[in-house]
Amino acid sequence: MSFSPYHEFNWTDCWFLLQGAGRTILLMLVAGTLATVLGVAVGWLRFASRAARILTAPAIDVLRSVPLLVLLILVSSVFGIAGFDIDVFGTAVAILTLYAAAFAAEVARAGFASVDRRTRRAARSLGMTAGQEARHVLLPLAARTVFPAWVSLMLALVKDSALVSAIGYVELLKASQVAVTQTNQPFLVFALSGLLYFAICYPCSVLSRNLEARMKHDLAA
Amino acid sequence: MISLRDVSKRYGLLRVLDGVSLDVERGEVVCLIGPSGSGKSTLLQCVNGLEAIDGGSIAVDGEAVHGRGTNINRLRQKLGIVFQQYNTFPHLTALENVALALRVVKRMPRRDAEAAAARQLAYVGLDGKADQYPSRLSGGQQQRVAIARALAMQPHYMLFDEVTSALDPELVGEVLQSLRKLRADGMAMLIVTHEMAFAREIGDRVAFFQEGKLVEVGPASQVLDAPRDGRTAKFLGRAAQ
Ligand SMILES: Nc1ncnc2c1ncn2[C@@H]1O[C@H](COP(=O)(O)OP(=O)(O)O)[C@@H](O)[C@H]1O
Ligand SMILES: [Mg+2]
Repeated sequence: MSFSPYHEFNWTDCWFLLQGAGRTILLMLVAGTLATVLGVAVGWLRFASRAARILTAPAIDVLRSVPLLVLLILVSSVFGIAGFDIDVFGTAVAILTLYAAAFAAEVARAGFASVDRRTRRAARSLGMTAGQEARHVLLPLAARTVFPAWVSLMLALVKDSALVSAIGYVELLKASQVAVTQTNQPFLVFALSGLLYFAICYPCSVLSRNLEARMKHDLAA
Repeated sequence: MISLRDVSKRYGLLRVLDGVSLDVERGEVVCLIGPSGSGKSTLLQCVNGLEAIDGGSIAVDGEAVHGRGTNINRLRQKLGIVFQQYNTFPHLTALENVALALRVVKRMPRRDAEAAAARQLAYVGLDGKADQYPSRLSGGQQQRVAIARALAMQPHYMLFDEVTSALDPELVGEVLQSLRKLRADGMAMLIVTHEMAFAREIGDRVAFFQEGKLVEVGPASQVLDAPRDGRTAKFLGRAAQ
């Protein structure tokens, strides 16, 4: 039996991939939640104030036009050169959040703008405060208009999160690459890894279609 | 009493309201007629503070609508308003449309709010439609949901802005019926309408409005049958054609 640097793909490798998938999910949940909250806040400001629209435009334009991979490498190198001892997960979350928030802000702004001002006025005419109107009329109506766009954004985030492997965070793609170097079975490993990405995204899209149908239940059939 | 004193308002260079003075007493019905673009909708929206004014004052039961210390959200509960385009909440059922402000503004428990909402829907003849969404209702039914929604706050005054002009002719009657019922129950109303026959029937007084000015105010039969001002006569002559 000749010496080989590789071993057969085994349960340990499989578990390693699953851990990577777990980290991908964690990235999606943390960065997705933060990006949504930040995006709604910034989208609201951009919707409500001309000054905020002008002031936030450069940041949004930059985040939306520079490729995520470039952002990731740029920021981690700058931190590295500056001598910061950076936490890879924290950096990955921060950049993914900012990147997705730039898109989420535009989605949110479009959602707010889609709500009929007369409907909002009717709410105020009943004695609702601006906050009550926002909570009970503006937000729910905006949310259901842009829900499909938001889901697409979150699914894109799962796939884009693969890029954080470039700064060394061992999520699903990085885990797959490592497993390949140990087993030399790229086809098997990447087939599994693709299956895992699918297993993460597909339930989300099915769930979202159901939710979307539920939210639109009131529209004439 | 709703009391407008020398109210003026501009949109840029356009004088939309020009020295308007008018009182609406408790229990009284005043109909506002006039050509489109003359400022009638703006006037109603100034009365409940949805629009600011540039001069004069508007008081409701003695409280200045545009006063600095005024809690406008509380004052608005006294003033129901119904718009031409219904503006129902599309994501809520008829019952929820009516119950929402009761829960949120009056902080009523859900059960009480829904019971009160059901009573208001019955009042406008929509008992069977409580669980329908606006998209499944006709224009006349949506408009009655909007009326019930405003009435649920137990306002002292109701403001109606051409509530039948967006409706198909066969649906106008059912909405006017709700207004007749309100009049019979003693509700004070300020009604913008282009239905002259209806104004004559329901109005204690009629006010003719043109280019932001109140041209003529008086008892309904006097203004509509024997107008004193030439501009009123001309408008009524055109409206009759
Ligand atoms: N938000 C606004 N901004 C600028 N002009 C307005 C606005 N609302 C109404 N106007 C103008 O004010 C005038 C009066 O409008 P309105 O009160 O709707 O009249 P009416 O209800 O009698 O038809 C119209 O010339 C209209 O174009
Ligand atoms: Mg009008």
